[in-house]
Amino acid sequence: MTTKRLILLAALTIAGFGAGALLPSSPGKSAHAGSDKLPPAETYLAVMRNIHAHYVPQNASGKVPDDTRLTYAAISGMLGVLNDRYTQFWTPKEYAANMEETSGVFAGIGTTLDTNKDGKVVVLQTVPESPAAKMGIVPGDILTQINKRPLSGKSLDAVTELLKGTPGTSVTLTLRRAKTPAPVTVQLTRALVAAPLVESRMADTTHSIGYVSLSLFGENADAQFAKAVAKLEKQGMRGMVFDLRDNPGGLLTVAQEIASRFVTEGVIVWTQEKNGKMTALEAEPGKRETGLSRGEYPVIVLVNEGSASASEIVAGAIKDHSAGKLVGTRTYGKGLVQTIFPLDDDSAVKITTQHYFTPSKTDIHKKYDKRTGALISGGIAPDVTVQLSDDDWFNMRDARRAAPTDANAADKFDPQLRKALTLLQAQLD
Amino acid sequence: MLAAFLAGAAFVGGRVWREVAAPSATPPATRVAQAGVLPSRQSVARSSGKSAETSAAKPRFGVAATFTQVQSLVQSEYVDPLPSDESLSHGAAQALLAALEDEQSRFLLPSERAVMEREKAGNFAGIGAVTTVRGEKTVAGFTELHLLIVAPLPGSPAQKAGLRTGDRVTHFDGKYILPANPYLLPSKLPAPKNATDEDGLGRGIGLLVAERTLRQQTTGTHVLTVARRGTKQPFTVTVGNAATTAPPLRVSRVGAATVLTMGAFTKTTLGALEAALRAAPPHGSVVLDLRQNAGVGSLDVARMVAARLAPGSVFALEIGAKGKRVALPMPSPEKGEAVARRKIAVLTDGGTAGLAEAVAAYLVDNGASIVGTGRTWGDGRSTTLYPLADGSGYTLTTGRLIGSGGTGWDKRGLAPRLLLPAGLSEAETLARATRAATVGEAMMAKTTKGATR
Repeated sequence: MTTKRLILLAALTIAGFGAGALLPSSPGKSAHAGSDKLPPAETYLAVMRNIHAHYVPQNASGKVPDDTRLTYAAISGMLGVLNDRYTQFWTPKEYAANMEETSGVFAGIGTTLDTNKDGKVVVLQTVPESPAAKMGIVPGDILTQINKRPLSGKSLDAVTELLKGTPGTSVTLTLRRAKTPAPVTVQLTRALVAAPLVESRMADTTHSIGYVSLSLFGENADAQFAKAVAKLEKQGMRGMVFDLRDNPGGLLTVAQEIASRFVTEGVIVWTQEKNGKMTALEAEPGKRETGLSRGEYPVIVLVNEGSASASEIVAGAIKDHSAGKLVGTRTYGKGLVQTIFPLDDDSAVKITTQHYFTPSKTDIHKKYDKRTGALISGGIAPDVTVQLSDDDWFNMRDARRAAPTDANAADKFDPQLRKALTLLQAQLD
Repeated sequence: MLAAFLAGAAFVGGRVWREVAAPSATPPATRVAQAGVLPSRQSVARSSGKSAETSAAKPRFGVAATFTQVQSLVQSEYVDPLPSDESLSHGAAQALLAALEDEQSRFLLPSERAVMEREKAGNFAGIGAVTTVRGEKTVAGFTELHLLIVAPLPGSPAQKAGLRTGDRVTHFDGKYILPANPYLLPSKLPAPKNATDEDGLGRGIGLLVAERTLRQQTTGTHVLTVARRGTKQPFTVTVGNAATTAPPLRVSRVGAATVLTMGAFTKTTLGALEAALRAAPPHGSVVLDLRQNAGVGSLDVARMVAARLAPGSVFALEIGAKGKRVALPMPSPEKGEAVARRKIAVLTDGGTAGLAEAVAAYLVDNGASIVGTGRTWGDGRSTTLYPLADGSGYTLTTGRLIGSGGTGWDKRGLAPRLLLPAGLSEAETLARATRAATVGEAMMAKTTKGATR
């Protein structure tokens, strides 16, 4: 059996302290020089043995916390010394949850939900071929009950949890539908559903400008992306907006695949391992069957401060190869690659194993002035800077909630998308 | 085993402290191979299994392998130079001990351990007070950790500033002392450079950082905000920093009675006590004044003090891990030595803590009277200090002491059988304590109008 190792570039798996914490630990201290004095495993074992033999618990339960809890705490404490918040330990539960998120496959019914302006849970999308799509659930349906229990007062997360479950089990939904006066009751059988990572539509039908957004570089993101592009090209797409805003990253291999659809030759990204050796990840062949790959139409990539790691690899490759323009705000600035190592007890550890650089060998990782804490450099600057204000954000949200079935409803309140469309329209006119 | 523990036994900060021997140079038995290639799951498991076999002490719990696996992966895979093994050990031990959620079981940096050992010998720095961290249940059901003054040492900056037993320090130089989870914060909590008031860090300070600073500096001053029971508003005091030594034994006479004012159980205490007892009238009564004695010093000295004042075979009982009871024996008397039975009264107050409570309980169980204005501090926990090879160490709560006659004082404190009214003059206090020693507290209780409970 070979170990499944995943290269991950997720910036936002943990929300922690931002500034300063990102710098690697002090250089010049080697792991092995003069370090035999206090090997961590020895220390850990000694403390554990003394706790087992002599400790009298003082907590309310009167019990010593179990070995697993203490050990996981010790591991996290050891990793905390690295001062690298991307190197972290995952308990079996956290590992499973993170893997589900990265794989993009979950057990459920296959709907994307939101709350509307009245606070009701509304279906935004259904995943094709999912149980929800098969049973005729459509965008705009309002969910009122799950298994005959009303949903009033439940958070969106709580509702999502109720819908998830083991494949093969059933769940009964009660829905209100715009043109049907009586409530509709549907029984569904849960199944494995590939989470939709890509959203696509024709944003400007006059100029045939397509819009494709990617929320995460999950396992099947490239396939979903290719399908969306092919569909838009079939509709005669003449320009494309690729939205990477708030995309926290994902798998390195997927970033390489998707970047290869924009940049068909040369280096996508340089990686550097602990020995200092630089390795080039080149554009993958076999992604050249589309108009996009042949450069038949202009591309604008939307980025913001939430576009991190894998998003920055793709944006950096597109920028350095002049395969498109970037619009929005400076990207997050995470130039590190993590590898996930599964462990024997079904926990896992995620370790920063590589630095990466854009094709022009630019290090985009955030750097701070050690004395003042001020940001010195980091992230990728857009070609055209356009801010999105809090008001814009709230207007977009309200527009979406007012018209949950209209995918273009929020566009007119989105200054970054509007700028991208204006630039493309000027090029096409 | 116990004897070995007790050899270095000591008491500081309202608790009984023990110290175990520092480990000798230990082989890196649980290290795994660090080849340049990426270890697969199997190779990691195999190498850790192998090292466990060769390890002198094989771990008895399965999850230990996970720690070893992570350590070896970090060492072989982490992209940047790693911090030293000492730092990694410190981080692991600190978080592990924090998971116990016990404010007395914690990791100590070398500097923190040095402070502890210095204080054990009676040498204090900073404000010169015995402090402690105590969890208090809030109305909402949370446990808040409070930094409390157990007792300021005589002549210390803390005493000069008017700090008293039970004072809670809420702010340090204007910064709010964070009352929760200090052990989960890095021990060397750096003041965040760009922290703002908005994120709360700009105005707060970790509880351990505050406590450490109060105990380490020898120059400068600090402004402390103090909450005191019975005082409506918190108030601020400016406290200096200086070297302060635990007080030596003071001897005085009230009539035929000898008053021994014992503020600590340090090395000089015993010799001074023996000299005082030799000089005392052979059958004169004794008042042992343990007011503001927060238990600084060593368990050995405390037991010798008890042995000199009242013969007995068991100093205290310790209820240890899994409820096991162990008797802490009295030191055996030297040849030809006979301890005279004396009439004794123990004088206590709220600052009588830890070892001083143990001595008081022992004497009470052996016939002494206990006199005071209220209950003693109430700390019967015994804490063991485990040193690590690089000068750091950690403490664990390893038991609770009760008197050999079953008298317990942890959390509740010892109640004086003769309660003195508040506001008595020092002369009157000593006079009453002397009478309690001479005629017995029961008689005193009958004859002292309004002074009984």
